[in-house]
Amino acid sequence: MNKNAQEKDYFNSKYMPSLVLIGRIILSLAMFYFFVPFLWTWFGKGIEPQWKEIAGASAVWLMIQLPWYISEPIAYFPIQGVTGMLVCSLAGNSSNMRIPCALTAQKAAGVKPGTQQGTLVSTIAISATCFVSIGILAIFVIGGQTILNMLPDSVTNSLSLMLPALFGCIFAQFMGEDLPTAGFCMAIGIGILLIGNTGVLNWIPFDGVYLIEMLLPIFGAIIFAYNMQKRRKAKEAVSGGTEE
Amino acid sequence: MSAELKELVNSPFLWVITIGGLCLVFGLALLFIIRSIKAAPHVGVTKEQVNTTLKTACVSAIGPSVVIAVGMISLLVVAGAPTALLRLSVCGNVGYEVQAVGVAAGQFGVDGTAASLTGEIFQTAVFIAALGCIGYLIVPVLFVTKFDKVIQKVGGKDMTMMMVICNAAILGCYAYVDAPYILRMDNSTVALIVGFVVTLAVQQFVKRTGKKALLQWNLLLSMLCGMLAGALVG
Repeated sequence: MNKNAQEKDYFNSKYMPSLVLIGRIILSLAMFYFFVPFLWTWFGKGIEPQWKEIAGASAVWLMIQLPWYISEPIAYFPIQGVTGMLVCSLAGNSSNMRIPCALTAQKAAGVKPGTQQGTLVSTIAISATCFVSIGILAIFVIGGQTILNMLPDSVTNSLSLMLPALFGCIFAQFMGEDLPTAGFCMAIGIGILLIGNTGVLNWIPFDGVYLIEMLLPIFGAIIFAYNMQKRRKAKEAVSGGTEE
Repeated sequence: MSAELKELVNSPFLWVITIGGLCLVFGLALLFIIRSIKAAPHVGVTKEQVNTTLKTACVSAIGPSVVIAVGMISLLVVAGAPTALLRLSVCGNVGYEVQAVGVAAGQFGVDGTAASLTGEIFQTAVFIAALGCIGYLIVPVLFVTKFDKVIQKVGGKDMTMMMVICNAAILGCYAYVDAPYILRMDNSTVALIVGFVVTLAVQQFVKRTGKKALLQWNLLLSMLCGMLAGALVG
């Protein structure tokens, strides 16, 4: 009992606080550091920022990323634990590498997610993947560049087609979770674009039509899915009630 | 891509920044490994378990890393080597990082190909990539210790609702991103549709055979098939 209490104490009073502090410092530093390439193009290379385009791109980009800011911590926290989350957030590629590796390592070591042991094991596992992944990326980036320099422009340009293929792939990945919402928002996305293309919305000032084309499918999807889920819950409650 | 632009995106200064960024990740990872190994006996994790963890994690990371590295090539073409390496070694996800250039280019009225890239598009892309990181970093910095409590409070049915809403938001985003490609009716439309169909096929295959390892290759497979199909048509 006493030993148990001591162990619990070590994890909560020594291990966690020190790592949380280190993590917070490095993550805060990284937030500013990642803007250095932008500042360099501006002040070092004299490329004047196009603020209107930057604001537009930022709005689109944040809308794409926003669901991840919320969903990733919720979905992965039980596997990562507090300390694993800190490394995972900085290193990225959670869903397609760090989390699967952490789960495999937890299983191999025979510990359960959500426990102190699980947190410790996943922290070691996630940290270890950083060295492997960055090592492999570095090899590819150096070798890949040499190959790319030898390829004709037509081939390198067709590599850009990976982008729309990826967009299609991601939509397909999430479609299975909620088919009605997927159909609904795709119809809105295409519909509003067709309407916008006819020019009937050109009276909207400040390029507002682009904003509408972007926000309508997103909020349409959220409202649609919310109501569907609410109805599903109400139905469950009714059928649950009659059974009782 | 002009020679001048090629020089910009592969500048030695960007390499220095990239190496600095990688040092941040390595430093954090190394400190966490050392402290965790030190704490292991106090928490009831044996030396053997630590060794198993290190081995399993390293071996498991090889496959996904290669997938990410191949996915990185499309970013390499448009954003240059140092930026591609930095972006895929820090916050975010290969699938999303690759799109930063496309989103930036879209604001300038062109597509995100190497041929249409300009210094301004590159600058906008590195700006939004950095901006996108803030969300990933600020959530753990501010809330990491409170997460345990919040997770338990949210729980139950509300958790399902939260997941439904998150999923819907992602679908809505991609409906918006996909729609222009669908209406374009050129080789990029073919690439999108093939990427979509291949993913559905992979999901069905995994469902029937239970070979979940294939899911790790899903993204790469869809991207390659989509690109090939698009290139053949174009």
